[in-house]
Amino acid sequence: MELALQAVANGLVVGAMIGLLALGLTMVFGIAKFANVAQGDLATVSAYIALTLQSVVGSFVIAAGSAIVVGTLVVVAVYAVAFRRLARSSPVALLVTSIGVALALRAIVSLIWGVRLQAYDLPIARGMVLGPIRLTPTDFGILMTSSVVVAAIYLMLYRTRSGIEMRAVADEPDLARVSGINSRRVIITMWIANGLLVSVGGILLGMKAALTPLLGWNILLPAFAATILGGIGSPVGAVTAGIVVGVSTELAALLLNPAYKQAVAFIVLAAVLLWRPRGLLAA
Amino acid sequence: MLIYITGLLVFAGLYALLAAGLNLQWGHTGLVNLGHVAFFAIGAYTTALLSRAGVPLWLTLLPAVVAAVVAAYPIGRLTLRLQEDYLAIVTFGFSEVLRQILSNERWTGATNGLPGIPVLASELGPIRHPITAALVLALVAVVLVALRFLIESPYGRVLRAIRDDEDALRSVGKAPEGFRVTSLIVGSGIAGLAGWGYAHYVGFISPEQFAPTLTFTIWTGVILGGSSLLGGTLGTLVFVMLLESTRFLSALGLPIGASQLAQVRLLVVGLSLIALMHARPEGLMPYRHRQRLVRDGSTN
Repeated sequence: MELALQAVANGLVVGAMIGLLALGLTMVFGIAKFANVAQGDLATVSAYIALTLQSVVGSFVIAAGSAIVVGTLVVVAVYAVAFRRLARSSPVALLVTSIGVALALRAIVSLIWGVRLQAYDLPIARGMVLGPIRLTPTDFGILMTSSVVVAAIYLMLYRTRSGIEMRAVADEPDLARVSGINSRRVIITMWIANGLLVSVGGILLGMKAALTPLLGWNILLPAFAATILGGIGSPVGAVTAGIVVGVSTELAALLLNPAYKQAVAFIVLAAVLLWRPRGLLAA
Repeated sequence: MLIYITGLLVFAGLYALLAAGLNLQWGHTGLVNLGHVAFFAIGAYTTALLSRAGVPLWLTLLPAVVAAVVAAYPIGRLTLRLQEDYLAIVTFGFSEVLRQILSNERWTGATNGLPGIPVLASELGPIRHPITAALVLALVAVVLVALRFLIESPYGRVLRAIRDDEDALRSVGKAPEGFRVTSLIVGSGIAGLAGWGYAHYVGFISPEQFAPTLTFTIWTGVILGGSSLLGGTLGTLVFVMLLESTRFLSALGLPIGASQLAQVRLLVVGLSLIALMHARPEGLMPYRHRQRLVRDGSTN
């Protein structure tokens, strides 16, 4: 029982990071209409930028904050170079391009930073004990940060003009255009928001585990599973489903070989496609 | 030297088979199968397990192909009513999960893999190499001829209609679902066949030989070449040779170590994919339907 509670707590932490990437994926799906295979590797880039910045400035908080800004700029630059001119192409063409982006980014990260395991210089602190559950300050940091970022994205989507425009373009692109919404600005706003999500997600992943060039790639499958489970294009669904996927993979790891965490995410995905192909929260 | 050349021929043949399978799926049907290497692995592991248990090589060919087909079928069924993106995600996930299973299960040899797989024509000594090469190239010829009939048939036209305009296809009363599944399983069966040849040439398989990079290499080659059988095959072979030639970068005095070579290749694959999708997404030699009407004396 205590093991199960601990697994649920770990699952929340992992699920929060999956949810960040899935929220970004679902926005790209909704606005740019394609499955962005590069999502994980974009996260990896920001994680490594934070590593380098920390070696320069020392403070992890300042390094992470600046890395989020730089990482977001990288995501927008990737959009401008790789995706912008394919706006009228088929979703499949964009998907294939995003594979190319993913592979190229991973190769660049490996060439710059090497393939060995690296870690941030974080203060060593004792785990906090809450009843039967033990969480490290890093875990708390991950939960707090991802909650703040998700809340900010929701506020943007549901309370600001650009968010409302964004949802309008996602639902009815033609109607949005005839009602005078500048779809190019919407797309750039979306990539900035996605840049923020993958950058924060990547740095949090790097805090939780060691940095490798496969850091983000390894969480891509759970993030896709969460995107589909939450219903493609549903921001609330993506985050909720991220937590569901995180908790269920951690719980399953108690019973199965922990190496099969991705397999559990895949089974969740297959089950959803079988019974609720439009996602659990779909109307 | 002979062994080196025949080895190249065998690998060229295996790449050609993998390209042929993906060409049917992507080039003609527009299916985004990101797990091609998984079906290659299933073919290789099936034949390796059976032949290590004493089953003669020739009797393991069919099971290797069937195993790949059987694995592809539920994936096709699961995604057949959904958008293309779903097939991409599911096949990608399947391939990653399969590699984890192969790396962790005792009966697949885990990360150590399966050594001691009987090789083709082993009783013939050194001339086993040219004989294997001839055999693999014969398999390639058979597969390409069969595929040519398939893509020139009414069935092939339906596949391209799925790729180009599914709604138009529905409007003439054809349901794309069944065609998509058969295209997926036939292409995967061909990958399984390639796995059979691979296992019985190298004699040792392990999970790391079936990394997703192989899938993406074949993808880039097929996109480069285009959907015609000649284009898809040549594109893949040329692209693989280009990747192989990166090993000479260090000979040119560039400071590239052995460990960086794999990253340089990955970079080449990635950048090629991006550039191709921008410059020429249909490839250099796309399939063109023969104009039968012209031959009949009428024009459209």
